[in-house]
Amino acid sequence: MGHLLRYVVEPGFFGSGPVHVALAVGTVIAVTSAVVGVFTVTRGQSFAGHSLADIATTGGSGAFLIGINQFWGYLAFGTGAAAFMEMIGVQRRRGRDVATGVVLGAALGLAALFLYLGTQYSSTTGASFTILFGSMFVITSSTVPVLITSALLALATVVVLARVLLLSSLSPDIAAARGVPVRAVGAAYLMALAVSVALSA
Amino acid sequence: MTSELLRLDGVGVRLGGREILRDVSFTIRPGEFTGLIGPNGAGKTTLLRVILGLQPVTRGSVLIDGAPRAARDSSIGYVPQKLAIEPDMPLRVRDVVSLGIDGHKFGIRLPSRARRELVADMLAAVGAQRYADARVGELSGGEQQRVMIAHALISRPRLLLLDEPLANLDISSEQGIVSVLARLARAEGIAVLLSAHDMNPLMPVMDRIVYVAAGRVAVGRTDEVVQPEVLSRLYGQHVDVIRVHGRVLVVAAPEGVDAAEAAAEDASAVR
Repeated sequence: MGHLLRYVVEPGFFGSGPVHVALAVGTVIAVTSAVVGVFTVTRGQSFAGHSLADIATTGGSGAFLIGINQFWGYLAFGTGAAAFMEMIGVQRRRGRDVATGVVLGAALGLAALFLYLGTQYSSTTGASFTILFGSMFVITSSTVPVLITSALLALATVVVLARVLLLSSLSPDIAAARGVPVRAVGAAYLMALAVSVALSA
Repeated sequence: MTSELLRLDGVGVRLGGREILRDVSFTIRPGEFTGLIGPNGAGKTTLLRVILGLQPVTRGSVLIDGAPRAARDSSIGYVPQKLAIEPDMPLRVRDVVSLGIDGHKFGIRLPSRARRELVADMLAAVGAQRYADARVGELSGGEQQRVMIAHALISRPRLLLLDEPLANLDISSEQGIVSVLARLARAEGIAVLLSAHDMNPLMPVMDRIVYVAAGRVAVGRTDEVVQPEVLSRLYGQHVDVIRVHGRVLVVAAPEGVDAAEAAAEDASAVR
């Protein structure tokens, strides 16, 4: 096994600090995404999930512009957009996709603006690349606890909402008739989705 | 009277300036099988949504056990007309029925033997054990209806509302659903309120009928309500009621027949 791995990775790869961080964060994100993802499919919100990643980019570029950790930007814009989508989106699936599209369009425009402004004021040419695609190996170790806490929060939200989410995907009417606050649950879920997307961004 | 499970009093609903329901009053007693009959667009679904508390009323009141409906009322089970799921939704029949027990609760639950058995019993009661492990989205309309009936009944409601459960079913599934419902209603004393545009499959089991047309209702025993005079008044135009081998057809009279005149003529012809 060790001999085989040598052909894949350099010796000492697993001894390096950034690799440890990448492994830990990657694992947490993978677990969270897997759990959250199941409900994304049952609720037919794949488009929303994809869009939230793009919208988080807007937050990332905004954070870069004002000089704070990009993760906060990802998080703020992702959850904000999630709440906004649920607010303007009607309960029907088609309406939801329209709401997603509207929010996505506005966010991408802002992202382009922020990136332009950001590169105007600083000479960091790699910024656009990092914000748009990111890299697991440049996560500073101070960000790690925040990342893991957020992931666990998102995971906990989904676990708590699991049954209610399933029931409202099956029939929003049945859920509402049994006293489930369908919209609030939808918004909470979308925020958990936003967090997990922001994490992977 | 406390023996009333459900009481609607002068219920009126306006939606976007249009009057959907007007002065709807009726009661349902425990164990009664009531047909909510009427043409498409008459207001049957709105009426069911009013009872479920999903549609606010503009006038009148809805009382359950003599009191306004509570937010988390488990005494009413509901089977919607259509499920909001895609065929590839990863949800098994067993899980759907299980959601009927506590799908409205937060948090997780641990699997238990008692629970598994309860689900299995319920599936057997509606005759759905054959596809207990199939995905719900892959089932036919009649199979989905059985599953959703099990889902609604597993929380032991005292009133079961079904929205057009027989629509788009073939004749044998139709009879299957009706007999399952009738059997459960009798055995468990559950009151059933079932909407349908065709009353014939329900004739053998219906205790009472709530006939909806043009937003108003006529209520009573089937033979009292399904009369040309009663229905003509309800529709606001002349209709004929034709009985063939125990089946009933409600048909509009040809253009130009005066409603009152024809109704009078019919009344004498029937006797």
